[in-house]
Amino acid sequence: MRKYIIRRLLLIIPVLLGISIIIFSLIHAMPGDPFAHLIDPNMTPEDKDRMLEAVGYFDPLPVQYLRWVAGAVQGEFGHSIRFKEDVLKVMWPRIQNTFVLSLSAMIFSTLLAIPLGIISATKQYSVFDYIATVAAFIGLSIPVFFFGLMLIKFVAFDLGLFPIAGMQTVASGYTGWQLLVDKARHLVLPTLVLGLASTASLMRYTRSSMLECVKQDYIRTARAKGLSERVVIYKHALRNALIPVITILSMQIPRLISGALLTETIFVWPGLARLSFQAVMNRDYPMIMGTVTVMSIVVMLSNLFADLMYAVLDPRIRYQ
Amino acid sequence: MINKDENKLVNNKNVENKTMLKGISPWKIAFSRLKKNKLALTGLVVLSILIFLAITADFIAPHGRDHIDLFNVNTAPSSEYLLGTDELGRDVLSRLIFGGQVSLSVGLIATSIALVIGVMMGAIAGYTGGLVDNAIMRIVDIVMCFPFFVIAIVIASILGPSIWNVMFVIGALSWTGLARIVRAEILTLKEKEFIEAAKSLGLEGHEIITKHLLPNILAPILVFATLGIAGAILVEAGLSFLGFGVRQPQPSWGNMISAAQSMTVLRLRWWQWIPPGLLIFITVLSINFLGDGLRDALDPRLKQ
Repeated sequence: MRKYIIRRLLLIIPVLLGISIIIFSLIHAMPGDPFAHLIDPNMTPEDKDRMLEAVGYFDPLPVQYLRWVAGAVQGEFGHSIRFKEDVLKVMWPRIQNTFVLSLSAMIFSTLLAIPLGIISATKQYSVFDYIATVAAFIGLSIPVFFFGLMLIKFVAFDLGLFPIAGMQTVASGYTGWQLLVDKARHLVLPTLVLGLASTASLMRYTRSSMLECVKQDYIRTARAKGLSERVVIYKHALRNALIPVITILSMQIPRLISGALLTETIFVWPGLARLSFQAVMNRDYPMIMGTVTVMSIVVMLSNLFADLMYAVLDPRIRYQ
Repeated sequence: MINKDENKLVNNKNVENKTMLKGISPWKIAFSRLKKNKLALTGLVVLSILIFLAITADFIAPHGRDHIDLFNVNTAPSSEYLLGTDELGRDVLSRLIFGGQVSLSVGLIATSIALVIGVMMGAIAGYTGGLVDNAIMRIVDIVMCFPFFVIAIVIASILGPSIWNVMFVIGALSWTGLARIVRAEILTLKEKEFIEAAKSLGLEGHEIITKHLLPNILAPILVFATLGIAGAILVEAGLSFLGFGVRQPQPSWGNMISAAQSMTVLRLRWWQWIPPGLLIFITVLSINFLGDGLRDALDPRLKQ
């Protein structure tokens, strides 16, 4: 097991290198110059070239890439061209914001999806099952940003139930308890939007996993020895049905983090995905590399986590 | 008239399926199963209507795609403009019909690109094994870890925004799931006796893959393709909404919704952004119903 974890962790390195090489070449192929708006228009072209030369702008790409890698392994992602600050320093609060939003979306979808999936499966082909199935399809088919815009229009504007955008009321002077409530109110709509698709797919998986489990022989045995339906479903079937569900749950993590771009854009949520989007718009090379690296590491770690959970929960699985 | 042509479309499909797959009973079983699935059938009918509208847009649309009426800018729905006009005085309904061409063709072509890359990579990796398999699967890992929208936007800004580039970007980034499925299926299939027989007959690798292996995994590929079209339509809408997909004046449902980024439009002019959103939703929902129906119909474990 330990060997397996180490091997998987080592495997992250070549993949990460591959990703960074591809992104590095791609962003340097983009038209436009990140320094264009920073340079004093009165400067002569010669002076400009000299300054760019000093920051290594004209070095061959492999040299620039190696310089980036050398910094990155020491936790130095360079200076953001746009924010004129250390990339990590700019990213850190955004990472926290993204974490808050995705965690809340994940809790929301898990709490909603798993019970619904179980009920759907135990009452297969009932009216409830039918409605839940159609609802899941609707959740998977509605464009995220369209759903978000509808909520903003009908719930935030017309009914005035929740704030329209942002993370907290600007210049409200709230403290303590009030501040917490204010932040929670800002979190509700983005959570709904971000959690929608996950809820739908998680529900479908719980349902089919549960149906698969109920067919097994040991469930028949449990029923045959006279256990109540409650115990059979919640103690015997559910435990085994949840194993694949947990894998699916950890597979949602990447989607919640990098797929949050549209949600973050609509609700003006200052998260990591929006930061990387802005970085691309501004040709902020160090910032693009930084955000993409962080996102890829999170994705790979959550994949590893999914596989490990699988082994921990299901003793039949052995990794070598 | 629409209804009649509609039926014809569906019937044609039946005929085609029957002649193409004559004598192959699993496909007939699957088709008869699909016919019993009400949701899938509804999806098929709705999709056929949408496709018909998109194809005949030039004749059906009440106004020209880019026809500007400066006396009627931002007007609410009326008998002249059934769904009102946009900020340039263009008819929203006509642009919706033309926008369908974009969304549907992006979905189809992007998925075809993903299909070609995914099947090829998966088949080669699964059949060859060893070092080639390892190399291809690492590439799959890399592409799977890409933060989708960031990469898509970077590529879109290198290539420039156009409908063809959107198709390419979506196709090039969404083949990995299929490659994994195809590889896994081929890994189990290639141990079977009929492949051994084909090998001992002296068939080449590419012949075994295309003639013996791929026909046997057509079902999962078909399901993936159907659901992939739905995904591609959603991604195109998202990219166009962000301004990196299909650009004005060419209408796409996604770039029509981006009008709602203005608070005035969002609050007061529902006809400019709710109809395209609903159309994306209906289209994707129908495809998902159809895809799910196909999955059930083609599942050999559910044989009766």
